[in-house]
Amino acid sequence: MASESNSVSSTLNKEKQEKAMKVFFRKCKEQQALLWMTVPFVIWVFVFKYLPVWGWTMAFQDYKPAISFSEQEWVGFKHFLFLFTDERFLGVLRNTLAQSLINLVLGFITAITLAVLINELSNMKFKRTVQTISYLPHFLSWVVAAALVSSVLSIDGIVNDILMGLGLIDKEILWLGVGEYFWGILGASEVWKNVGWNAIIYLAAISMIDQEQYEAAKIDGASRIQRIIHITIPGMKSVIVVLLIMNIGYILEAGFEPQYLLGNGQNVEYSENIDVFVIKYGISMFNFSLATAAGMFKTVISIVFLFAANSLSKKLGQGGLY
Amino acid sequence: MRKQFIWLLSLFVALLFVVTACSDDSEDTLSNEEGSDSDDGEEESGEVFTYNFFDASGPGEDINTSETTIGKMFEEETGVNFDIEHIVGDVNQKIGTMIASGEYPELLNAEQSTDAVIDAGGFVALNDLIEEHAPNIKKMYGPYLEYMKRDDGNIYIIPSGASHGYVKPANLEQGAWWIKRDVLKELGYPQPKTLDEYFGIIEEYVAENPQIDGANTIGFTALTHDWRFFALSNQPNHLAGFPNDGGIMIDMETLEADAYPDNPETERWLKKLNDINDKGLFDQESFTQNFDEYLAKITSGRVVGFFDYRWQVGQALDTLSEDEDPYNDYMGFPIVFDEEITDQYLDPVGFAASPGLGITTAASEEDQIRIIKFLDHIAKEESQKLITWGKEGETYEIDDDGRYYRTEEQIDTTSNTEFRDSFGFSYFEWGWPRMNGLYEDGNAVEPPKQPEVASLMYDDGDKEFLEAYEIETFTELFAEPEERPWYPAWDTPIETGSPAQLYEQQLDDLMKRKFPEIIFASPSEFESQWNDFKSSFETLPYEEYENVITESVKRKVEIHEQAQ
Repeated sequence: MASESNSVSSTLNKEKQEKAMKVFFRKCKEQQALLWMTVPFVIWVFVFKYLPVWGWTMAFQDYKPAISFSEQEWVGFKHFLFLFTDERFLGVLRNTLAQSLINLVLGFITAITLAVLINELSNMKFKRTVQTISYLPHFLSWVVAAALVSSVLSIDGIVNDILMGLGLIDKEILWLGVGEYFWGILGASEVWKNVGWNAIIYLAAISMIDQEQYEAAKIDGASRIQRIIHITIPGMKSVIVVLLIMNIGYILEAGFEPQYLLGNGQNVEYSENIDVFVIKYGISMFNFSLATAAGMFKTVISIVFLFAANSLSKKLGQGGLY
Repeated sequence: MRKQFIWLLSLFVALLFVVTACSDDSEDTLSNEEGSDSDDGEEESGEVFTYNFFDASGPGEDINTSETTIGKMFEEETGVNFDIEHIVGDVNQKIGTMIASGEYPELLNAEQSTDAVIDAGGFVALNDLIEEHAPNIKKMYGPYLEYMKRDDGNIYIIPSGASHGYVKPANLEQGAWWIKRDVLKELGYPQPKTLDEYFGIIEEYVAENPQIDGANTIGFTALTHDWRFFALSNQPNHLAGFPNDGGIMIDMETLEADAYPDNPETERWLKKLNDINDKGLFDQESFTQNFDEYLAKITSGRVVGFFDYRWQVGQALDTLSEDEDPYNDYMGFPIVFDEEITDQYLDPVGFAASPGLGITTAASEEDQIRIIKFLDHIAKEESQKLITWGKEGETYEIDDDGRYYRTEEQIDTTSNTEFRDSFGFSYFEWGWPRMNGLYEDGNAVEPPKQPEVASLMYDDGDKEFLEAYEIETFTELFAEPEERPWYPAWDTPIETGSPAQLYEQQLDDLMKRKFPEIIFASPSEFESQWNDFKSSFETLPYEEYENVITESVKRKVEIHEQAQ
């Protein structure tokens, strides 16, 4: 009896599977065109995102360029050990996380605020102008931007002039020469450079909000502030969450150019992050293995953060990326 | 809708540009290579071969050598020309990419990354090529060929500057302590000899002139940006009477190398900086300014004094000397700690075996022979005269005694940048096989070192100061260099991945971090800051570095003694 029902259920299962397969192939045939269209991108992802992972083997070798793979010398975790036992690495890691967090928090708050403010403008011409001006710095290369920042902050730069004029300080401050100021300077420059650009996506999100909600709220007597808090912001929530999760995945990518260009001996204890460290001790010393090891470390941490942020957002009922 | 269409169209066009630009490029290089490959079998009947030459020694205009007068002459005689590409950005990164990809130009000057290219097997050994095809190179480099050999006995690169006799330069090319001429004039042409006297002049002047042209006077500024940090860290060596051997002092007797960052000399130098900082004479931006800002500052005329090498600040000092005002120029002095120390700022007769030109694995055997023949052609004495003096009757004259000279007009022409570019001086004068010192006929290799030329090069402003100090040339204040057959010690190959290499990077980081703290500390804290630095330094593998240099110095001295 038992065996009978078992075999019945197994045949049923088989039928079910076959049916599912049939459906799958039929779907495939139906959507043939679409599938073919994805092929180039699948190849692209494979070639550029998966094949390079093979290069991680370098992290466990004393990699020498001109010789073949089989001749490389394997050294196990030597490069990771160097990385984690270097007394400066902790400081470097701290800088990376701090710079990244500051960028993340400031970037989000300012971009969302700017988007909401721009949205509230009714004069179209003014709105366009503000938007254009605010996102223009995004297109400057960091080399140019860093030169601007350092000249503004120099001893006879405009910042010192203004502060002296207002009597807020009684002696010029060498802003880039004080390590403690570096994170703030970096955060502010990032905001100046990217706030307009980052605001664009939020403006797009706001424009998706149904206008009738605003009209209804108006009729109910909601003030402008109340409309922002209860309609605009909740309307942007899903976009904010998605972007937040994606950005947390990049938590160790605090950037390289501004730190490298604005960093100097006096602020190095606050400016040097993982990428700068890798350039100094990896690429510049032709130690590609160390650079790879640091890259692997970054990837692993990023994946951990990404999963953590995703599950957290699911728990908070916001739905995740996947 | 229409608007969208236009947008899409322009995007498409832009993409098209990108694609064609890329493919154009690749076709170019492809056809080039094919050309030289298929030509291999043919006879060299007026055939011209173009090779790529990447020059990491400095920025410059990318050009084909045949577009210059000299290059055209070489092409006619050897059938070879080069597409020169200069470095943009960081040398280590650019060469690192070449090494990682294994794609080299046929001819390469890898500057400070030369050792890495050799370690990676990028250069071909030149021993046999020189033996078979380059009699002139053999003759010109003579005893130096031994110095050029690496540990494995192979020669990989041909450096510039094989010394044949010593000529004291008329103008400074190396390190000096510069003071603005205006200052010297105002204070009655003082001649500082010691560090205290030097800063005494600066202090006196700044006290009387707190502002220059409406901007605050800067007493002493320093260059510390990126890899140029040695412009602040080399001084203890110079002040103690050593030439620019890099980060080490070499004992004349024992030939032992001593890394000096923890020496009393360094403490004394930093103490002095700490002291002048306390007096408000030290430029607060010394550690935050980049190279361009530093040059701009010197050109602005606000700076009273600074230490640097003439070749490093050439751009700024040339600008100042070309303008109308002779008093905003700077004059260099050989400063030492105490008067009994003999200064050694002028380079001794030496031979830097690295960097130099190397033929890479990208060149086939036929190509290698053609390139070495081209280099050998440059090593002929007539070619050497062409790249240094130019053409007789055009850029120089010969008097009845066989002495070479230039008329004032020719001096003007040959110092004009445009002329130098089109004639090819800019590209051939240095970096290729080159001798230094004197030709066999007794003329100086470099025109500015020929007394007949040097005396004509000074203008009225220069003469005023020469007379005030009762000297004939500006280098007369400087002592003659002593014999140091190992000079310069900084060309010692440092193995990639060795503790010595790690030491260089770690020391650089440590000094960049601690020197500002020490200098900007209040004088009462100097002691503790210095001790802090010293104890950090002692944890670095400096002994390994010293051993590598000592070994190399001793080897060079040995070769020198054998050659004698």
